Amino acid sequence: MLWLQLANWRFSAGGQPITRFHRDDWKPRWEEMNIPLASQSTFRWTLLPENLDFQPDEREGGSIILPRTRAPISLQAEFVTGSDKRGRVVRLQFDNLYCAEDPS
Amino acid sequence: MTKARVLLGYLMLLIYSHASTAQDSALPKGVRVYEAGAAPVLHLHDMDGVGFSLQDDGKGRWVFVHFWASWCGPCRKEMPAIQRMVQRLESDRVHVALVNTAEDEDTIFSFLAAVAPEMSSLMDSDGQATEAWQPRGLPATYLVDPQGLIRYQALGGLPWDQPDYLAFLEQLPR
Repeated sequence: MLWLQLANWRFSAGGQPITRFHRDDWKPRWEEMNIPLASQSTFRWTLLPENLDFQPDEREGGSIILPRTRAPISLQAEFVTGSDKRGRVVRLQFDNLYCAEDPS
Repeated sequence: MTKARVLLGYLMLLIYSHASTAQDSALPKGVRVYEAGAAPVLHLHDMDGVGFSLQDDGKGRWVFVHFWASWCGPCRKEMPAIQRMVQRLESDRVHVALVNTAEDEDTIFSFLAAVAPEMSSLMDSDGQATEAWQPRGLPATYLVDPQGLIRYQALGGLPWDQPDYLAFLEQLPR
């Protein structure tokens, strides 16, 4: 078993920490913008869960939202393993991620 | 988003664990025992206006509750297998309740016509029924027993038309 805990992921841009948008950040914005419930629901399903206990052979995907920046983004992701979370820790690093250009 | 905050592309993060557990070894791959108690209320209508209530219409039989959406890639792959599963099941002990999550009728109709034309789906038009079930992701499948208790959960999209899965469904106790 492998544990996804987004609280254990760190993002930086140009060497400076950046903070991702938590899924709970969206609800008040949507209410202010009168976004239909169906659209809110679909958007939530595109997000990577905050926490998930990945089971054997399980695959789940999703998006994470960061403040837009032109600087190269790095991600340090950490996962604990084992049903009791006492297994080995898996650490991954991704560098040189970039925001897509905004065509508008 | 009007502010200077946008999606960082689509950072699709697929995570894949390879461990195995003894508890689920007798089940088809990707199906696990999931005794979550009574199933949440599910009362929706399909595209023809026909209603289905899990708590009423589902009583006394197993119900295969499957949440899906047309934008979900694994759903597109899995839906034809579900149609073949329905065609190949020899008994009627399992009722299939497809639940589309938060899409409109035209989208649902176009999708099913293309990938599984013999299937019909309930419409969770505002997505709130799906929210109540809190699936791990889409697609999501639960097997609810004749007493209305969730007994099994599928992890992601599965080849339901294959012999292991059909045998599993056929041997569910009455």
